[in-house]
Amino acid sequence: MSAQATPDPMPVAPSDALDGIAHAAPAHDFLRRALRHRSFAAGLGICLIITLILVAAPLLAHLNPDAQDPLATFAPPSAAHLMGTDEFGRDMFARVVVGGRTTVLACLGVVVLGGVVGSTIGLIAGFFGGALGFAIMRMVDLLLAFPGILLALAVSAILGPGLVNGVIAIAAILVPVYARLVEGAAVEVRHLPYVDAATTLGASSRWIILRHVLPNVSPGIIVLTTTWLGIAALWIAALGFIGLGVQPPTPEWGAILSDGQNYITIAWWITVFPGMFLALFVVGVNLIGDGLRDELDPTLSRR
Amino acid sequence: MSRPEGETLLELRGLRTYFPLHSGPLRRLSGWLKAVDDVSFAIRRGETFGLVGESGCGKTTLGRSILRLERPQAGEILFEGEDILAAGGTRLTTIRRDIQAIFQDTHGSLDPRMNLRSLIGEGLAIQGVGRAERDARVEQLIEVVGLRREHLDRYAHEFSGGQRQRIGIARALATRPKFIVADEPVSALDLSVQSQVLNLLSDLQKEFGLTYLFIAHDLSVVEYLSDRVGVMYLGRLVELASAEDLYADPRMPYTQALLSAVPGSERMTGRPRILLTGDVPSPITPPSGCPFRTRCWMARDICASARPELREVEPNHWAACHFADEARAKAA
Repeated sequence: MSAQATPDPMPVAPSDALDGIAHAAPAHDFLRRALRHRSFAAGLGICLIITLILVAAPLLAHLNPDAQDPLATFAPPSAAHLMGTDEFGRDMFARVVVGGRTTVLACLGVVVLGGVVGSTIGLIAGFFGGALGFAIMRMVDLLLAFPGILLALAVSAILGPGLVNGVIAIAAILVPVYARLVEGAAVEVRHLPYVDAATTLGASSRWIILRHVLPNVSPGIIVLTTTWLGIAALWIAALGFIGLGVQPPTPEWGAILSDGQNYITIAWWITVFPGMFLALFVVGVNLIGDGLRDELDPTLSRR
Repeated sequence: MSRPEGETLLELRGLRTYFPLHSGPLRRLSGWLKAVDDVSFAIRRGETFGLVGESGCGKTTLGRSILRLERPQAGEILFEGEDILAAGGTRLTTIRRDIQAIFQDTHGSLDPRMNLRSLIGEGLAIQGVGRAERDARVEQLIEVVGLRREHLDRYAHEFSGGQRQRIGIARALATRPKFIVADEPVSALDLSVQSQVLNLLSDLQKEFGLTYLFIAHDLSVVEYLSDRVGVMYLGRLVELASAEDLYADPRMPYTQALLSAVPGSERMTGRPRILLTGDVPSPITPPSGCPFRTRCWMARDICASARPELREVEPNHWAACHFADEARAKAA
């Protein structure tokens, strides 16, 4: 670490210094420090490889996920079809790559939309509390009491089928989950002395929420987000399965999985390849989340 | 330590800070906790006003009321003649620059996710001071409080308690305040570090012409730093005098008991140690008349029926006791 190359600062006062001082790298070193975190580096590696495949493969070879070949249905993996073909003789490699783009973008859309809306609601309810907070949180409880799929179905039914509407519907499941988590953490932070200190300095509520409360509740938000990125993929698949969300023949990992399970005994490659990608994606995202959580907390020692 | 009498910087008039108490499933209002009950006194520009009392006597709430962290039910807090309780919006933000705080909890009062540069510069950032000017001021302040510029990119948890308190002091100084409420600033620190922080506070007072409200339960710490001292008991101010007079000639029996509890005071003053019996009464249902009568060895009938007002028993020496003159004879 470069900070250690500079001379060790002298103690300030004989008995009041030195104890408990450790070297902290400046903020701009963040990425370098984060990369030394093993699970973060591993997660980032996995996600980069997946992203590379999803972005680069269509540029290197012409991929048509919808081209059918009636003479080559259920073909096992071969040089012609890297991941085999499905019941219509469609190339699975093309479907996995193109479907992956849909899945990854949709998952990101779900957590960003649900996370931003839910966290905002939670921050407001937790920080201001009182009658407003009480009213908001009872609404959140009401939403949490619904089974998630019912909520998503209701929203989908209102908005109509389609990928974007599916994303909104699943984000609706996430809103109360984020709100509940963030509200609890915000209530805790609101009563800490450093919030009093900021008030004394003349900080507005907005300043305190954005500069003190949000950074201090962020570990929970990050962990929840990385967990839900994976779960969102399954929800999107579920919506597709019951006819809402992604419509066939548009490829999407979840949809391919639910389709392929009918043939799993005779054509394992239809489910195994997209399943493998989905699992890797979820694992990679979770590893990144663990790393971020640790690295964003300066009080957690890395040595 | 005594200074010529200066003009008044901050004045409390009949300050009452009560907390509502709720009970029952419907959280109905069932009473009030009178944390600060009708307190009036003035703090002069440039002095250190010590405020002492046991835990729960309301001294911290009084400090928090001045900082506008609690909302008093009644009374006025005049800062340079202006009632700060009536101020709001941008006016309040401006006033906050002049009135700063040093907190007891050196760990909890510094945001763990901010480095020293952001922590110390926060007050300036809130005011909209530009980055370059802020950095220059922060670099100057960190050295004023005895830390080094190299520390600015570190986080508070990397420092010891004494150093963290220095960070808190630098943060309070950033907005160039006139008045600082120091709530038990050294009580969480090691004894050896306490004196260093006290010396720093004393030096800064001279350098920047600061006025302190110094809140503590440790009388020896207060004596060291204060020009005048107020004693609180159950939300009320029961004695007020210069530090010299108060320590040499306490008139309120409670103050006498408090002083006699300072370690080594028997040897120093020749006065016997006074052991109080019983607990502090609940501030929710304070005793009638004098709040101290339930533990006072001098209490008579009048103490239960009439509340003794704070009166000037000697020039610039105020005590709230029916028998302030007698109390003196007894203690002597």
